Amino acid sequence: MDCQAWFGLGAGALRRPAAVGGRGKWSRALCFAALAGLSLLGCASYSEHTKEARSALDAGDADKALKLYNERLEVKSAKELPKELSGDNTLLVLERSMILQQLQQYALSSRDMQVADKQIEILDFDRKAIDDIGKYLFSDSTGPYKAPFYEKLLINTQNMLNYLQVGDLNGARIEARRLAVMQSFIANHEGQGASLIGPGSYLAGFIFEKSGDPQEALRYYDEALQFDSFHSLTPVVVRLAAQASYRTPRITKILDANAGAPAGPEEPAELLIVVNNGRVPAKIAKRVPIGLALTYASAFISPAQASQANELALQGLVTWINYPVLDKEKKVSPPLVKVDGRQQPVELALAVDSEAKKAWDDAQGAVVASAITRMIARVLAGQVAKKAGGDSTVGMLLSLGTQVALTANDVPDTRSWGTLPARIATSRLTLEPGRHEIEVSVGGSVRRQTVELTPGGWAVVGVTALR
Amino acid sequence: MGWTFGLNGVARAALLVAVALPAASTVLGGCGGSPKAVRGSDVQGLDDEAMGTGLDRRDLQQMLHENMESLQKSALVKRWEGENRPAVAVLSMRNETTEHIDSVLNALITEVETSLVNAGHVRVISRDSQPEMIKEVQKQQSDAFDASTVARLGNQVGVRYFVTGRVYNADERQSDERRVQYFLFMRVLDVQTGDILWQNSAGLTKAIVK
Repeated sequence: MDCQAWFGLGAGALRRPAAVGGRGKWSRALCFAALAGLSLLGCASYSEHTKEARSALDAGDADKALKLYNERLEVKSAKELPKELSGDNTLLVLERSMILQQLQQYALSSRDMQVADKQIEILDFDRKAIDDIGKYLFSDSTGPYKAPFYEKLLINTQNMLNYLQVGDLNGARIEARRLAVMQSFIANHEGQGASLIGPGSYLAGFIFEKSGDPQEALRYYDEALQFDSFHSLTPVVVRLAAQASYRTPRITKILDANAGAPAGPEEPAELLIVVNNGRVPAKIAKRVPIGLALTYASAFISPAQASQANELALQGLVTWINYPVLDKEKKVSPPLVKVDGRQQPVELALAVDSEAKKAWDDAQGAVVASAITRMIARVLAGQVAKKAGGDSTVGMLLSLGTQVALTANDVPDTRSWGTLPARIATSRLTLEPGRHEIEVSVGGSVRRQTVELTPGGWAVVGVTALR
Repeated sequence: MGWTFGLNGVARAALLVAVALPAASTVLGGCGGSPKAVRGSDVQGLDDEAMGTGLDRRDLQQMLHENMESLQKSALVKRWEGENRPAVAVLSMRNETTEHIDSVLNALITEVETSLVNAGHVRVISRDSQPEMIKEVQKQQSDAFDASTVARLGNQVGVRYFVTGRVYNADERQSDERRVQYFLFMRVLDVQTGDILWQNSAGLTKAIVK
């Protein structure tokens, strides 16, 4: 008798006459064991699938990480997109884009981000009620990937950086406008605070400033200042305010504080260095004691569910809950930036790891609650199966099999944009036109680059070190 | 001989839970059919279907048709008829949208040139014959438009009129919808005076809805 027939999948299986002796019982047990083994093999979580690539990045081997992502996407090289962009492939493409950025393959990185940007939007629209129900019944990983807000805002931010590095203001402006659309959507749904993204607004301001639109540039710079006090923006705001009428209390305050200060050059040659440093903590699957899980989820489950879970815990039927957590944060040292041999000031534009933690803290309660609900459903299904089989070995096997099958398919949702940097830092300098040597030390490696600045010209140098 | 486990309805339900739910969860994970290449002429309505919020051939033709119809009805065409086919150059269409549609806009320039050539009122100076100068004009236009510079450069290229334009949009997103309203704005400039002799805007909407 095969497993499929045993589960009653074949026609008339439930009415099949059979003399069940000891041999039959053991064959069923073997079937269950095989099923459990097979199920477990096929149900690794997202972070387990991408663990080797993350380890390669930790070792500073971005080429290997890229190769592993390409294998996962079933493509021969980064020039290719996967045949299907549904499901986790969109997230894999997004993760690949940052590795391509680190490898200075900006055109491919930009294409990956554009594709993922659109697809993540489609996934948002495609999300159905059944996906949410599925999270409470089947598995945490049910349904399409839903990116948290900070990830959505960082797609356009990082793509602006890609375009700026190749001097494409037109492409960068499009990304800046896309960022504004996303910010408006988030502000309408979550409040303005959630829509702010310091480096995004900073880069958008830079893009419109260098596109000859001081009014729009001031608007974006003001948004960046609302997020954080970027001291490098003070002379920029003073200079642009002489060309544009846009004012807010923040801009007026800067102008008042700098009234009478000597004016800088009208058309300075400027260098903007953006450093993507470290990596956000990945989500990993973790087993936590049921008592602790109930504490996390207390605001998200009903008293009846809590009491049911407690009862099962007391009976010793449930001791652990399997759910995703953020991996330990790694220490990230600030980058060291030198231009023509002299060390330059660096500003922290965004602690992405803190944003990831904040987003996870907000989501954690509901995630644990759904894990507890699934756990209760599994145990109850097992009890029903046991009751049906009686106190015999068969009953125990039925109960075990039911729980094993459901547990094996319950995969903690460890999906996240794990190749985002932990920190984004900037260094902005006004320089004499001509050739300049740049040296950025970050994450144990040193990147050297030469830039040629024309009078009134600009250059953006991005350094990405995802270790 | 009967079913020796004595499975009742409850047991069957339990078994179904054990087997069907994991299967359902797998299905929820997503299964797709194999992709295949098709020819537009073989699949009815293929060119009518919107594939996203970007601009496609049909969108361009619709907006261009509306603008060119307006141009043909304008007083400018009568002026051109009296000038014995003056020289015209079509500049780049500036992309002020939230979509990366630059390759589509390059195709639009060719469509505009084709339309003008076939109407027969003007001589169209090919961009290929004056690449450096046109590039300079486009550079002027792309970042900070300076009419006097364009006029100077227009004289150097040897054209009497420039056709120029831009595409912009109003892009809004809601929880289950993204709506992008496009506007193709075109105008004709007199190189000598910088006067705008004709302008028109055509619009259309693309959206992703649930």
